Amino acid sequence: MTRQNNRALMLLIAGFTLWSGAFVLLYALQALGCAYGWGEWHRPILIVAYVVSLVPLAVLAWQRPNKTGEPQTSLSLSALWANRAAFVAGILVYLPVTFATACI
Amino acid sequence: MSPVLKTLCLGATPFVLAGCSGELSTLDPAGPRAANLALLWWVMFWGSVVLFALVMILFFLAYFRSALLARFTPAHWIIGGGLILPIPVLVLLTGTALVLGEQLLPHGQAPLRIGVEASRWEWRFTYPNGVNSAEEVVHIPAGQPVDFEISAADVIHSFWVPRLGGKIDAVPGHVNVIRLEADEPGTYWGQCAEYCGEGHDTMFFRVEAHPPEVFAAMMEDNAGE
Ligand SMILES: [Cu+2]
Repeated sequence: MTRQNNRALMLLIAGFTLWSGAFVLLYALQALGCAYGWGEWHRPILIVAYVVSLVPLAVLAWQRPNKTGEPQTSLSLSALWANRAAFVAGILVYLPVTFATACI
Repeated sequence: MSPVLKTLCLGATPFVLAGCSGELSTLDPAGPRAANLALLWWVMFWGSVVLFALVMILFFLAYFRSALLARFTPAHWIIGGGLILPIPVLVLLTGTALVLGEQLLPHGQAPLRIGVEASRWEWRFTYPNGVNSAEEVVHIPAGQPVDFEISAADVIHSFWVPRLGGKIDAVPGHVNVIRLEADEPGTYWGQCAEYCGEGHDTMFFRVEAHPPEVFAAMMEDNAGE
């Protein structure tokens, strides 16, 4: 496997790996906030975590898997679009933590 | 198909259809929260019917009018069928579930709170005046939200009155709250909805909804006992 393919393969799994990590993080913050009674801090913490989670996903979505001069392979193209999908999925799927009822 | 099998299949059909109404039917809602859940069910049902019909039409076109579909490239199918079709459908369904789900939550405190303790294999209800109901019947006023504070004594059970609302787990050492409301006076059956041992299938209870003034009188009578 070439170095270029290696990089593209890592990028291919990076987006949704980060996505699932952020999902668990937001889930945990929601549950811990209720369990420990973070009160009025709970929502701002969730919103900050939402925005922060999206940063690495956004970086990946704009990251070109192949460096300048390298040819585009189907692997590098898949990596690019998988990461863009992860970014959009992040915006959409995490969005309810910014407004839905967290604790009852 | 053998005659015996055919008779069995035909004979079983009414039992399957009977699941659509009756004492434990979520599709026969008797209160605002159950109505939300039934509405969500219908939205999902009709959504799936439309999508299924669409897929079947494409399927038949592919067989019988393949020329009509020939002008679509694989990229069209991937972008159209893989992105443009599912994303709005999923956003719409998730949005519906979020809006309807939010309305189920017990925001603030209901005027009436009733304690529920599940144990193998019975339900025990405690009214605000401290009186217990032993016979697995709980009385509530109709037309008013009631909070049930649910816990368990031994294993995990689940409190479910399908015609009044959603279900919630009864967990030992933890209190879960569910808000239910009956529009009209009547009897609404409940059932343990988490397998909890050999008596699970008979772990029923009843919610009796009364006109508010009748309920208030019952509470006063009880308090004196
Ligand atoms: Cu049970």
